[in-house]
Amino acid sequence: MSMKRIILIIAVVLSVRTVMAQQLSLTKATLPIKLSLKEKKEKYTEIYTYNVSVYVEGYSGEEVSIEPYVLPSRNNLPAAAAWLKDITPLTIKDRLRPNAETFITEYADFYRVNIGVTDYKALLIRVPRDMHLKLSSTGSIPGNKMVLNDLNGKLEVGGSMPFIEVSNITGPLTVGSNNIGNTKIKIKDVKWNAPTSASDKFTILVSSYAGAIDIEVPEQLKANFNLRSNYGEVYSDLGISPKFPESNAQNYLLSQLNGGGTVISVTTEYGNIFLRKEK
Amino acid sequence: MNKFILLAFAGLISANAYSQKSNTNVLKLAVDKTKHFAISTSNASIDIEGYDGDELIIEAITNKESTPIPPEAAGLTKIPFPMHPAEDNTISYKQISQNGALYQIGITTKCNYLHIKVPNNIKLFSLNFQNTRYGGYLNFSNYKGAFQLDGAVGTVKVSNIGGPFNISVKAETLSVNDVAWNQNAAWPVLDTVISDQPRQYLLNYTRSVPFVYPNISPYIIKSHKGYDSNMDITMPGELKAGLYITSREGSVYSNLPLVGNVNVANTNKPVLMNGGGVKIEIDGGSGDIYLKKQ
Repeated sequence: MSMKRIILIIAVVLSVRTVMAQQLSLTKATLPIKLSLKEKKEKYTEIYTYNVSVYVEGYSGEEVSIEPYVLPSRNNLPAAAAWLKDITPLTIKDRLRPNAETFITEYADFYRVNIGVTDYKALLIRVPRDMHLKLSSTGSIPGNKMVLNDLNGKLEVGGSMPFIEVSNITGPLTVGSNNIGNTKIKIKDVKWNAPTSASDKFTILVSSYAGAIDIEVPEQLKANFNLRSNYGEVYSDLGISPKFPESNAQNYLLSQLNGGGTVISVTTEYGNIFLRKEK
Repeated sequence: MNKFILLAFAGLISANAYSQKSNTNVLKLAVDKTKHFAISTSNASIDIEGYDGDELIIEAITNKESTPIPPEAAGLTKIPFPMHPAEDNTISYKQISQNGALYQIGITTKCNYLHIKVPNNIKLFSLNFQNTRYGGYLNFSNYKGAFQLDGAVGTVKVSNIGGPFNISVKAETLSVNDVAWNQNAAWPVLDTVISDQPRQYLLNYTRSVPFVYPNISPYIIKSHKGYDSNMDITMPGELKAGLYITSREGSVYSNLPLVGNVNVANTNKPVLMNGGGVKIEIDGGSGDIYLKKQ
């Protein structure tokens, strides 16, 4: 065995041990879940969900709570099913769901929560308003939503949701969906504060494969738009136009609003980008 | 003078295949109907229809309304990407593969819309397409013979067709209507397809041409897993058929005389229509399935 390989193995073992040392516990859990962040220095939580709608709300407390959520209005039969019978019970069921359990991993500074397979249609997650949150939801059941509201921490939202709406936040925000089908990402009511550090450089960073990305922007905001779409279009009522020579690259459109400032970066392969005046 | 003759000759050749002055450009290609003929396209909405001829005819038509303005854009102005390649009607093809049983070509175009006429009754016709732009569509109609459709696009409409067929798409909506269902329908045997096990694809390096195994169901309609797609399929109420319907997160609705036993749910047994008959496989991906009387 070469020396390089030995060093590499030692490094990997050490790094794994370091991570293991930081992990305080790994426990199976069932809904509802409540976690106190009182003793946590980071005020940061990672949450992963699978094939379920997720509604996240900030509040002025110190606990993260995750519980089943009964939506205010449940979907009725689709209009196209009028005069037809539901024969779903006769069909072959091939569930997409993996056999995964819910568990909580506690680290010295933060929690990681993996919500396994659930028969609930939606989850309500309440988090301390100033907490930093990483939220990822995989699976792309038609009609599933991820809705985040009233959050002042850093946000990283990912997965493959067909619909994501983020509102009433300060950012910085990174949001994306790798859903290949019909997707929408909406961002509105952002409290447009100036970045506080170099790591906050991208105040809004949005990416989507085929999704329509819709961002509301105050008319007086000083902003730089870095837009990229291979096959989509940009629509706006902000009166912006491409800036040159920065826009002299295929599939890029760079523009400024009121002389530039906050960076709003949007990347999509096939989706359209809508930049509209905040009302 | 020689240079002039050369240029004039080149112009004649190009005029044969392309007509730069008009916004419609035509590409014609003779088709050997005794082989599996496969074509692949990308980033174009397509109307494709069968006809009683021997040539593949592709018209690239610019300024066709293939990318409609989305409703969310109401009150907004379109800001063009400065360096987005402009649409034009150039069209060309490249041979991807050829052997005793297969002739496969790739179509290259910067046109957003193609109108394709394909000869009926090719031994097997396959079309692969990739276009998930807003408003993208594929309309496949009036084709007699065995065919396969595979790819991604916003809307797929298939109508007035024979079969057998294998429709496997990633789409928001898929409809299949006016099928000449045949109790004796069977896939053609392709001489070069030699395998003990069914495989999904014939050509690995492109993964664009679905593999056909002689013993599979003659009628397959499939939406890919994880796709928010709804399927709308019509059948005559008197058709004798055994339907293997797979649903995942979606529901299945029907007004057809389907008979099944709830006890056999989740097993690989067919739902019977009029006592059973031709085998039809329907996989709704993650969307809803609507099976309606024709």
